[in-house]
Amino acid sequence: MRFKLLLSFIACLPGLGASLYAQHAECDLTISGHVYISDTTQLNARSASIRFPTLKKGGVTDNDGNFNFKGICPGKNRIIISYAGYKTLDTVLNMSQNLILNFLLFNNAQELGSVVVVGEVIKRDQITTAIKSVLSGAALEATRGLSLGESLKSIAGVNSLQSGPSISKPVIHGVYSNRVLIMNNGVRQEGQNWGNDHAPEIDPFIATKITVIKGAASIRYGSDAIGGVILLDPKALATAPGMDGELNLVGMTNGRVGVGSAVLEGAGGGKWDGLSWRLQGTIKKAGNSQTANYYLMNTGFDENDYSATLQYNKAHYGGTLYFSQFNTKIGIAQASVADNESDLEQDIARGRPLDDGFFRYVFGRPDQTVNHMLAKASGFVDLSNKGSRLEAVYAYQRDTRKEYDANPSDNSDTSLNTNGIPDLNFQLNTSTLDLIWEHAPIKHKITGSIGLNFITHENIQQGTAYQELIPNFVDYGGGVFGIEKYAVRRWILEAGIRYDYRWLQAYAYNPTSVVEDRPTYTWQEPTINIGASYKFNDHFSGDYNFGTAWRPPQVIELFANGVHQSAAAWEFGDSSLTLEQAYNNNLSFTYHDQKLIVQAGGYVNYFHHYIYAKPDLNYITTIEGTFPAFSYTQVNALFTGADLSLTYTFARNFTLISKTSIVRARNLAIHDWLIGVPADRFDNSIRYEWPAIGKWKHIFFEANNLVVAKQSRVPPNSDFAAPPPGYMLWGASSGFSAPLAGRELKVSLSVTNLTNIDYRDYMDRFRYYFADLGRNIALRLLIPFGTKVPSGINTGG
Amino acid sequence: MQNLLSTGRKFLPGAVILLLLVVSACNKAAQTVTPSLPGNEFLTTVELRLTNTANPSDVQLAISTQMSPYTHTYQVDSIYNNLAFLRLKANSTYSGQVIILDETQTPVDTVSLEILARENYHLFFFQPSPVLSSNFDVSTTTTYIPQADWLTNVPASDTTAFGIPENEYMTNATDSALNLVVNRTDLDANSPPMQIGLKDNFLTGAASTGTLRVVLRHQPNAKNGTYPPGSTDLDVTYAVTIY
Repeated sequence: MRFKLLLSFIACLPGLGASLYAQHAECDLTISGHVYISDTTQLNARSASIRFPTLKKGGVTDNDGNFNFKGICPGKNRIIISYAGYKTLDTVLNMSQNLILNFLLFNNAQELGSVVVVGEVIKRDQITTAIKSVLSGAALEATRGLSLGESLKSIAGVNSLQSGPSISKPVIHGVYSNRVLIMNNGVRQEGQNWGNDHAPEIDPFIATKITVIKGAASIRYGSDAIGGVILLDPKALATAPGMDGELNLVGMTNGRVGVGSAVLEGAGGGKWDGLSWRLQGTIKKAGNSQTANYYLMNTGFDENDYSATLQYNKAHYGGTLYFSQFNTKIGIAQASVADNESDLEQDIARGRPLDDGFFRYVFGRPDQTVNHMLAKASGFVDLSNKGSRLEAVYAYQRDTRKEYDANPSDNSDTSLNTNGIPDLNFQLNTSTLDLIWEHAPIKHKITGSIGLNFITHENIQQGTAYQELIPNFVDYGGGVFGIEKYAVRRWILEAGIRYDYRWLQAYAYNPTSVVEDRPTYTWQEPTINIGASYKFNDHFSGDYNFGTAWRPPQVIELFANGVHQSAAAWEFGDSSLTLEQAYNNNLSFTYHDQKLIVQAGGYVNYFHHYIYAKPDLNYITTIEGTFPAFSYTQVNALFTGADLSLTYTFARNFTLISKTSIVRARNLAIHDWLIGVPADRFDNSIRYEWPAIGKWKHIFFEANNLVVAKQSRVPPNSDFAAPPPGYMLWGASSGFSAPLAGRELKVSLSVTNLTNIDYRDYMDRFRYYFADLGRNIALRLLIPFGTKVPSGINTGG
Repeated sequence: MQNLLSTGRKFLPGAVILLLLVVSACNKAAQTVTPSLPGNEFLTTVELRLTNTANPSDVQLAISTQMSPYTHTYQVDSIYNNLAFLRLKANSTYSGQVIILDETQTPVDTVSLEILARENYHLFFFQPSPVLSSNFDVSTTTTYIPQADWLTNVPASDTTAFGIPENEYMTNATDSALNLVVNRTDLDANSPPMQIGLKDNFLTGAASTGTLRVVLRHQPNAKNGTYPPGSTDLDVTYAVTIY
């Protein structure tokens, strides 16, 4: 069997063999976990009933929603979970190992025509007290077809940094790029994240759950997780034999976007028991997008992505192979081309394209081509029947980014097709290896894990642009961490410690002597994290987390010396930059009752040696013109802010959903504001939902109002143009689900920027050149199919 | 159990090799400076070569370059204006030529020939300053730059040869204006043909001093004789003395 190789790889890791399991047939499995209610805030379900009819076992959850059953037999076990006011879950678990599951129950008001229940293995190596928001189910389905950055904007505290209509990257609590780490299916996403116009190289369709950790999570994930982490998790693979799948179709009027994404998955039975697989692919095509008054020429894109997963899990060991490929070609708006400072001034003074443009799918220079390949092998083995487990994940990523300027290089040699030569061409190869040992719970109260991370990068640049933004480099890093949690009465206390080491060598010509320089750096630093969670009563709880984090300066920050395209800015790196250190404080309170769910959080994040590109207020003059100069420099900075989410059922079938994000960032060195921080944002919706009309279910209408204030907190003389005024957008959506061969077909229609206003967002880097998107109408279809009897549960493991 | 352990031993070497691969996955290509791609060209030098039509031995050459006169190497972020000045006789006509070089190549590459080969995409502009307001006229046949695109914010520390500030302005007084008019004399292959500006006539008036800004606009599939479409390929300013 092919899988033996992988299994034996895991089994031969030091110290494992002795305690491997031999018995499978005995009823020695345990299932424990937690029952939650509601979609957004995950509150504990107290005294929920849990029954195993075939085993004649049953019981109720404790005050904190926990349950624990022993003596479960391997194989298929029916489980019924019921809770007053919530939909009863009745499904079959295919048990092959001890399971720790989270069950999420939905009431009728919140059951937005999506997953009935989501089960997942509680990761003991996660930070429990960190402030998290989850995008899943109907909320995630409503964003289908959008890029990752745009999808996450619906979460309080999360914003996006745009470069025109087709490039968007997430901003968490005011920080972005290399301060936000993305974990793509358990692997650190390693692309060219240093560029503000470099969006994450990820197809959001791979995930059925996106978790945003707001705040430093370096303790678990290492450097870059300094301001937040985005976890993209696919649905757990099927365990019951058969095959099923899902087809997502999205059409949008603005840009005439078409998106098709399909997933096909299945599992083997009998001889092939334990074997699961999934194939997934997405195609997107878009043409020129449209603002309220004109088209944006050259803003189309073509994307195609696919992934494949193969898993073999037995009771106490298992392995998974995963491969994904992301390919996109994105046109950059012609109107954003500014080759020097006078071009830029001219473009800003005009503030819109020269002409109204027209629609077409074809686009050319300037554009970007990005390919991201990920290959991953992972496995686990249980070291004892008390919950001690070892996991290993190895991943290799190859990210290539080719940027084509507006003009091909002039060249007399016509045999060279300069039109096809990229001006910037980077290839970043990354290998990561993670080993995690989760120890058996001590006296059922203390859980935790110890882990090792290794990482190495190599960057090869082959662009034709004379001014090299990033030289070739190689780096190695290693980290070791431990996280422990102690649960007692109303408290959960946790603490973690980590130590990291990183070595980097760059290869560049010395600009004056024109000989190769090999500047070499090493950094090492500990990281700590402590947190507490307290339950005041059944309705009210609080979480506090304090974490430190650090990141080494990035290569561009150390070595840049050249024009950063599309900003028409000259950037200077500083090879003497030291590491950036963050101290994060997060406090969050949650209240819930039958009608009201509130999550209110505040944070105070102090950055020591915060690295940013400071305007030098002088100009670099070259043959091509003059450029304003920016130098990477370090200051101490303080980010404070608050997030509020609220769901209030104020009348029968009527729900108010309100989200507020506020962030303030101060440059402590000059006692002034920091540039590039999102303005205050207020997102409010009113939703009316009929539970069912005949065969149709979850019929809803929703009206949405988004208010974004003007960013008035900017330092003087720091930007090419003043921040744009605030704006208000209206939106509406409607949808339903209908039975389709025993499954649920879902249809929804939504409109954004309903009144088609002309507006600009401060966080859009292209706001200087043109307005943001006009009205967009999106139609979404979710068509499930398959050979299996539909069930509403996904089991982890 | 035993079976698993023995297969474990069997595959131990493979696992060790895999681990070694993890920590030594280094590519030699990353561990050196990547050589430049062939055919990669830059604009390092812009020359104005002017010949007095009445006196062919009166040849003026003005040079603006990013090649250091000291090390003869390309300087990424510096421009050398030591030779970027024109001395022209009053009330004369000079026939002029714009020569653009890539001096990082051996032999030196004449980029202006490649611009000529793509004449339909390129258009030169010549803005004297201070310009006499009664002369200033933006059209598809004049070489003036629209006022919105003038240099006005250049710090006083950035000057041309002779220490003249680069910022452009207009004057109503003939006495204080730079009495220079530049007309393009070449045409491209567009239909109808449009001017290019690689070849020009420089007409001088009374003695005066000022600056001449030369801008090459790159306007692929957008050239219409005006300044706005496209982007700027080069933008240099020369000091001018008419005597």
